Amino acid sequence: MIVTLIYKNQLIFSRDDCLECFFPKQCPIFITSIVMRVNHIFNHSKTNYIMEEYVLIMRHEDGAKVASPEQMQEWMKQTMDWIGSIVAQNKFVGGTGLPFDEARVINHDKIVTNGPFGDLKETIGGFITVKAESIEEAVAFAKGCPVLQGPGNTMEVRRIAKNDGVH
Amino acid sequence: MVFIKFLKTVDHSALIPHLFRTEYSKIIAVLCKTFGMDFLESAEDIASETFSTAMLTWPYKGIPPHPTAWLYTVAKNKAKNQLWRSRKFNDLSKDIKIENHEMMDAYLDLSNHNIKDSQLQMLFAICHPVISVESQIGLALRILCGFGIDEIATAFLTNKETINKRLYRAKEKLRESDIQICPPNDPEIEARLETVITTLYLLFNEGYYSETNDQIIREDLCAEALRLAGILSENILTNTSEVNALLALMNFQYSRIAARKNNLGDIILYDDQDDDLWDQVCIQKGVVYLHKASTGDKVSSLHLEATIAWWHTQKEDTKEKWNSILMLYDHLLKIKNTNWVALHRIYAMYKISGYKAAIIEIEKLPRLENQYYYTLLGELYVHEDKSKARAYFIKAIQITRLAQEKKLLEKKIMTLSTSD
Repeated sequence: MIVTLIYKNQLIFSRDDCLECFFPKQCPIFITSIVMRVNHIFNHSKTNYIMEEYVLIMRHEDGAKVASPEQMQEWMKQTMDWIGSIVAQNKFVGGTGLPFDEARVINHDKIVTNGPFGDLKETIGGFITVKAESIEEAVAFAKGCPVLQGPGNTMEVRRIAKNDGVH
Repeated sequence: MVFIKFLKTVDHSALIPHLFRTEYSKIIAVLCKTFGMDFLESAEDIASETFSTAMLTWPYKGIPPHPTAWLYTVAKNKAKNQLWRSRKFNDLSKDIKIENHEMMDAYLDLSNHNIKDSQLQMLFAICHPVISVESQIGLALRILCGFGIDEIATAFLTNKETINKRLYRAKEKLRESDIQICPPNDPEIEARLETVITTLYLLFNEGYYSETNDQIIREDLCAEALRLAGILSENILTNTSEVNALLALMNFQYSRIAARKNNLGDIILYDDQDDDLWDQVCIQKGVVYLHKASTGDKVSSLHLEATIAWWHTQKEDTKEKWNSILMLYDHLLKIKNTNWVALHRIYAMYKISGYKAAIIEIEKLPRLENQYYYTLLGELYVHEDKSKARAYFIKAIQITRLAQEKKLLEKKIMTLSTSD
């Protein structure tokens, strides 16, 4: 089946599958009817065009807290589910966890301390970068982060500056 | 296309349930067998840090193809780093002189065989009479089963501080007493094995009869006790007739775990259980162990309890069944005279000779301040004096801390009034 997409009198697509989407089966907006398919491609082209990248930063109140092995595995599984749901929407860009051991803080006078524990109450446990259409969508992603189950923990959402002359 | 690859690696089926908990105990056992009891706290830290590293990597990079091997490599590296940094290892064990990383590799042997050996030796070191049975169970849960302090506190119905203190003191005591982690030698085995068996028996009961409302923890306690007893039976030195009797008993009891509660978590009493839910594989395993247990000439309380438990796997209420059970309890009472056994014997008597005979027997017992005593009293008086029965059930409700048990007793009181 050939799908043709004409947007504002211009031919944008003419092909038999949506190549914009890497995994149509998992894509929540993947629908088989031809009209919807056009919309589907349209949505993808649209989102790719106007999407911004945001970094979601996980901030822990107490990074040195010891959890039981079972708890750790459960948290890890929740983090996987969380990231997996963003991947499934094709909006995950990347990310990493940040081990607490051997962390250092360099003060303005160049004095190095073992940190970030001690004076600083808060510490960053990791971050992920996502694509989102708006800050609200990025916030919605952040709300799903299991880190928020810990009282005192927070998520910080920041837009990544683009070098395109627009921002 | 990188996303498709990512999706494939984040496959939860690759994440074995309780993986961290299981590996926690293995890593600690091997490290402690190598470096001694003094290294226990460092070993706990190394294991925790290993999982924390996994937690900070796997969700982003995907689960490695061989998660266990990955964990061992990280744990080994952490151990090496710590030892090299502190240079403490020469004080820890005088026999170990490590000059380079390759030699360290040989000592940190995380092969299946060495893991089993280490866990068995650790079990003997922890179940040592120098510390109280309560501490032994606590330490076993922490070190051999990988339970968290929170989870142990829930199981014992106490708070984290109490457990932390108890475990700290127990570890200090083991260190002061210079308890070695080594294979128990032949003449010692019999005496030491008895302590180990008692600890595992109590650990299982802690789960089976626990007063905690946390169903998952209760089942996990039973499963862990079964696993540890399995380690004993796998070693030729400790595969005794008593160990097999213990395993038979645990398997027979464990077979009913799923049938003991409904979807709402309410307790279903033995008589009302759906025997289709009884785990026949478990029962068969129990039969095999019971068979192995009957090779020796010694009849221990465990042998009797296992045989009683076997009769309970026969659903049909025959005269033969309850006569055999009563006989076994009579015998058991002679070697293990506890109120618990006495109460169960009275129940068997009630099944055979009726409530009148059982009431006479229970009145002979001293008054016991536990919910089982009052529940049985209530049960017996249902036929004789309903108001008395009601009073006993109320007493039992006041004593029990288990929400489901309260609910069950309230139901019993309800049926009392409707049958008036």
